[in-house]
Formats: sequence, structure tokens, C-alpha cells
Amino acid sequence: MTVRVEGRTIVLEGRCPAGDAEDLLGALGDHPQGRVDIGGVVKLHMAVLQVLLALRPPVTGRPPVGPLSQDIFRSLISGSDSDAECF
Amino acid sequence: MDELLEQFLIEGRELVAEASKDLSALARDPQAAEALDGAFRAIHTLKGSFAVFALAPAEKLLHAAEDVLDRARRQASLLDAAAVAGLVACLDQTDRWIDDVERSGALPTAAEEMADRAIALLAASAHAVAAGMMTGTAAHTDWLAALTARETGAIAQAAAPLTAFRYTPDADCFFRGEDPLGVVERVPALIALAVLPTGGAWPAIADMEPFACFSIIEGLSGASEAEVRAAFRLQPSQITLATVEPRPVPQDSGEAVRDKAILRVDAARIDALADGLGDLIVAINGLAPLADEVGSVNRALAARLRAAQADIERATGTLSRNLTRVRLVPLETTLRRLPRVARQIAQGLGKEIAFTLVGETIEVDKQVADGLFEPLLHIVRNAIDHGVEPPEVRRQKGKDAKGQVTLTFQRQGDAITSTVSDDGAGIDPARLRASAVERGLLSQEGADALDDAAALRLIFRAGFSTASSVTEISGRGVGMDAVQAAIARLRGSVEIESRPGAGTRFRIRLPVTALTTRLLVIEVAGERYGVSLEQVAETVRIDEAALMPVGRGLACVLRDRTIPVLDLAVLLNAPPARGRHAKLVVTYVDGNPVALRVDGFGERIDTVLRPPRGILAAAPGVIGSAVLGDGGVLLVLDLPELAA
Repeated sequence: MTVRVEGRTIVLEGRCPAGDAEDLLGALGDHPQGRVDIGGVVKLHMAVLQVLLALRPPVTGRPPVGPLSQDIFRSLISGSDSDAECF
Repeated sequence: MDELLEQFLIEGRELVAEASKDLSALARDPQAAEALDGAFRAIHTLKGSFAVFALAPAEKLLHAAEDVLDRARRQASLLDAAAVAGLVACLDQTDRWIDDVERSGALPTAAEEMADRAIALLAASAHAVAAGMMTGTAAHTDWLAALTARETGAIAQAAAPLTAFRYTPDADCFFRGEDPLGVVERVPALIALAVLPTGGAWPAIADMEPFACFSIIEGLSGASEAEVRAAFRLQPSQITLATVEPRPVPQDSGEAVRDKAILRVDAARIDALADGLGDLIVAINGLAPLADEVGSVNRALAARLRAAQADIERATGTLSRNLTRVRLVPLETTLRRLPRVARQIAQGLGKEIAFTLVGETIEVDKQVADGLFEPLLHIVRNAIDHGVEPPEVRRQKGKDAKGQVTLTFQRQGDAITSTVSDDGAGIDPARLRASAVERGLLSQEGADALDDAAALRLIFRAGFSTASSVTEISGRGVGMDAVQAAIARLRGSVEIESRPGAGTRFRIRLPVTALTTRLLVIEVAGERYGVSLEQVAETVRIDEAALMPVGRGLACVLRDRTIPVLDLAVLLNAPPARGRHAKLVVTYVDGNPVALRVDGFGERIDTVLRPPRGILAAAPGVIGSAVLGDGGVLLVLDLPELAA
């Protein structure tokens, strides 16, 4: 299980596959004010990323080191209001 | 004139010509990306030039034109005919303003309104472009515009072209185990990336389908298109690629043109050089008789003198050829105004034309280029005025409402051929014959004797006009006779072909170089004159008794043909020639041989013909003048004109 809910924080961990999108969506539905901690993420699937981009929950945690993901997460954390996410 | 202003006039016109050329290329091929870039650069630089002189309306107009071109460039969208026409109108207006600035140093008072009108026209056509983009294949170009706008920073920093990609994963790609993010990670040299919602907006939580991909990924890569395509090799149908040129720093565009090692030299200096060379050739012409004279005293010395003469002649020949090349200018510089003027003429007459210029990059001697504009303009004017029918007439005849007027240039060895053709009503030889009889130019028998080709040549006769209504544009003042005379001055010839109902074609042949002319020196009534050898068919010496009175004149038989003989002295208002032997120079007038009696033949010389100036310019029958080896000036006669 790579999606866990701890209180009001939704924790993403490890390699998050496409299936995590449904779990994340459900968790965010249950906790509309919840924040997402991505500190433990190793790799994020597009399916999961697009949920984060669409719903824009507050994101916390240190982004993982990787060729792409670092930039992707940094922008999510800084939380741009723009429709287009520029990395 | 202020040097800066002078420079502006020269460069401004060059830029207008450049942009016009690119726009006509775009009109022919809307996908011509180079032409689009070229037009953009030229107009951008032009705008800058106007800004220097604080000519605000021009600046505003060019800014609008630049905008349209820039948008088309950035969106890689196609400019349709209306948009190109709008841009051409802007350029025409600019060109007229340059003329105004030259004349009065300022734009006309109504310039502001003119600019607004042209901008409105441009906006209307550009709007059509934008609308067109939303449909069909052009739609995809929209993303590129947004991307380039979004990534301006990254694009500005790029040293080489970048590859932009738009990856639209299939909605059900997750089911196939695909991770679009993973795919994008394989793109080499990734510079920028954006994840966008497919529908333009992200879905609300209630509408969200977590197993469907509703994202689009766009990005820029420093890798080549092929390398980026390779990264998406498993998703070929989901990917769109485009090359993004690094945005040019505007100031650079003008510099790039100047970087070419081109020396701008005042034409007068080249002319002075040509004059000097002409004098040199003339001086060399003095060596041959000198060598002959020396030969009668010392043959060995004469031989050495002739050898030296040959060396000097060779070196002068090389110099002359190089100078000839320096004087070569592309025709487009002279002709740049022609398309605009043609459009204006058509507009004034309520006709629609498509004017095509082909081969205008051919280079000819500056004198030829300069002398060609007027006759060509006249022929083009005639083609639009008398050739091309009004749109409704053309439609009735099953022709395209738009008349085609084409001006082409072709190089053939040392000559260029220029044709002006139209697909208009053509010329009816029968009508020309009738007209000539009506005007008393020909007898009925004389007219009947003309074949169709000869009848068509009637239009070159002085004062001949067949248009049933004389229009303001073509007028009556200058006829086709003036065209023929202008072309003859350039040592060229003009022919005409026409098919009633199908159109007319003028074919002009001109020498590429006009620097030196071979002249025959003749003596008439104690004076020496020059005649161009190209106008001399032959020279003959016959017994005076062989001259037969025919009617009120004289004739002689040459090779079984009776040809009229005119006394050149009489034509020049001098006492007629006398002598047992008649010396004749045979020339052609309207295709028929005519002999001119002279007192004597002199030497043949290569020399520079100076166009007639001052009083000489008004004198009939004079082509120009030439300076002789002894410093004397030789008047060069136009034999056909004198004999006509």
C-alpha cells in the first residue's frame, strides 16, 4: 500500500503505480482539507500526478531525487495557480 | 540631402523590395517558411528605419504587419491569400510613403488615417487566419503558440533550434500499463515540461475518472526532432512535434544583411569609372593608326608597338569585363515598384489582376535596368488597360475574373529576354488594319498587304491607338512607339504576338551589358558621325548611275531587291551628297531594308556610348555621343529613326 492516511495527512510512499490514483482520489474525497506528504515517494505514475494537479491539495515533504520527479514535485509544493504546470 | 535620410531611402526601398519578394513567394506557397521569416525580418527592420525618423503612422502600420507575420511564424500557421493581400497593401502604402518622404521629407497629412485603414484591412484578414486555425489541420498549431509564449525564457536562451512536443496519451493508456510520465522521462535534453488538462480545464473531483488519462504533456527538448520522436516510438499517433527556432534578437536581423561583404557605391562613381574606361578604350583606338604610320618608317618598331597595343587591349578587355560585372544589378531593384503600380492601375480601372514577376533576380547592366522600367511599365499598363477585360466580361467568356499579367525575364547568353503576357482580349489584326486606314497611316491596299504579324506591329507606329475609349491611364500622349524607341535606345528589340480572345505577349530582347558599343564612323556633309554597327546591315559602294528615281525619291537594286535610298545629309538638313560613287549604309526600318547615302566610311571603334543629354536629348535621331581618340565628340545617329 503506497497511499496511507495519517490523521489529516495523506502519505504517498515508494513507487506509486496507476492504481494509487483511485486510492488518492478516495482519500482526498474523504479529507477535502487534507494535505499530501510526498516525502517518501520514489516514483510517481502519471495517473497519480494528474489527480494532484487537478485537485491541488497542499503538498508537503521533501521531493525525491530523480531525473524528472524532483522538478515535478517542487512545482507542486510551490503551488502555482496557473492551469499549466511549468517545470 | 541629409546622408541619414538618403541611406533610409535606399535601405527602405531595398527592404520593401525584399519583403515584397517574400510575400509573393508566400502567395505562391503559403508553406514557404523562409519567405515568412524573410518578410518578417524585412518588415521588422523597416519599422526600425521609420522609427529613426519618427514617422509614427508608418511605424504603427508596419508594427501591425509585423505582428501578423510574427504570429504566423510562431504558430507555424498558414497565411491565406487575404492575409497576404493585406500585408501587400501595407507594404504598398509604406512604399508610397517612402516616395513622400523623398519628395517632401514627411508623410502626407492623412497618413494616420491611411495607416488605420490599412491596419483595419489587415486585421480583418488576419482574423480570418486566426479563425481558420481553429479548424482542420491548422488547429494543432495553436498549442505551439501557447508553448512558445509560455517558454519564452527557455527559447531565448537556446543557441540551436529546439524540438517542441505535444504528447496526448490515449485516455485508456493506463490500462495498457503505460505511464506517460515514464515515457517523457526518456526524452533527451529535456528543457521544459508542462502537464495540461485535455479538455482545457481539470475535472472536478466528482467527475474524475482515475483510470483515464486526462492529461497532455508538452515540452521542449534540445535534441533533434528525430531523437525526440525516437523517445515516443511506441506512441507515434499520440505525438506532435515541431521545431522551434531560437527567437531572433531583432537588432540582429538588420546586421545579418549588412554582414555580407557588400560595398555600397554611388552609381555616379561607377559611371565615372566607366567613362574613364571608355576614354582609355578610345585612346587605345589611336594606337592602330599610329602603328601603321610607324610601320612606313620602321617595320620592326611598328611590330613591337602592335604587340604592346595587343597587351594593352587584353588588359583593358579584362578591366572592361570586370567593370561590366560591377555594373550588373538585379532587375528587381528597378522593378520593385512595378507590382504595386500594376495593382494600382488595375484598381483604378475596376479590374482584377494577378501580377506575376518571374526571373527578376537576373542581373543586367544598370543602364539597361534603369532604362527598362518605363517601357515595361507602359506595356504592363496597356496589358491591364486594353488587354485584361473587366471582371464581368471575363466571367461571361468563361475566364477567371482575375486577369493574369505575367512579366518574366530569362537570360540567354549575353542577352535577356523579357516577356509581358496577359490572358486578356488580345489584339485583332483586322481592327488594326482598319484603324490604320482610318487614320490615314496606310492605304487600303497597303493595309491589306500586311500579314497578321506585320499588322500587329502597327501599334508601334507613332500616334497609333486602337482603344475605343481613351482612358486616363494609358492616355494618348505616349504610345507604343515610345516603348519601341526606349527599347531601341537600349539596343534591344521588341516583338508582339497576340491571339484574339486569348491574350497578348510582348517579347523584348536586350543586351545584358551596355558598356561599349561598336560604332562605324561615317562622313556626312563634311561632318563625322557614329552609327551603331548593330543598326548597320551592310555598307555598299555603287555607281551613282545605279540609283533610280522612284516616285519622288531614289531606289537601288541590291541582291535582286529594290530598296529605297535616302540621302542622310538631306535628313540632317545639309546639302545632299555628290560624287560618282554612292556610298550606302543599309539599315532596317520596321523589318524593311533602307539605304542611306553618306559621303564616306571611317574606322570602326569600340566605345562607350553616352546617353544624350541637354539639347541632344530632344534631338530626333540621336542615340548619344562618344568621345574620340583625339578628344573630339562624335554624335551617334539612330539610323532607323532617321530613315523612318
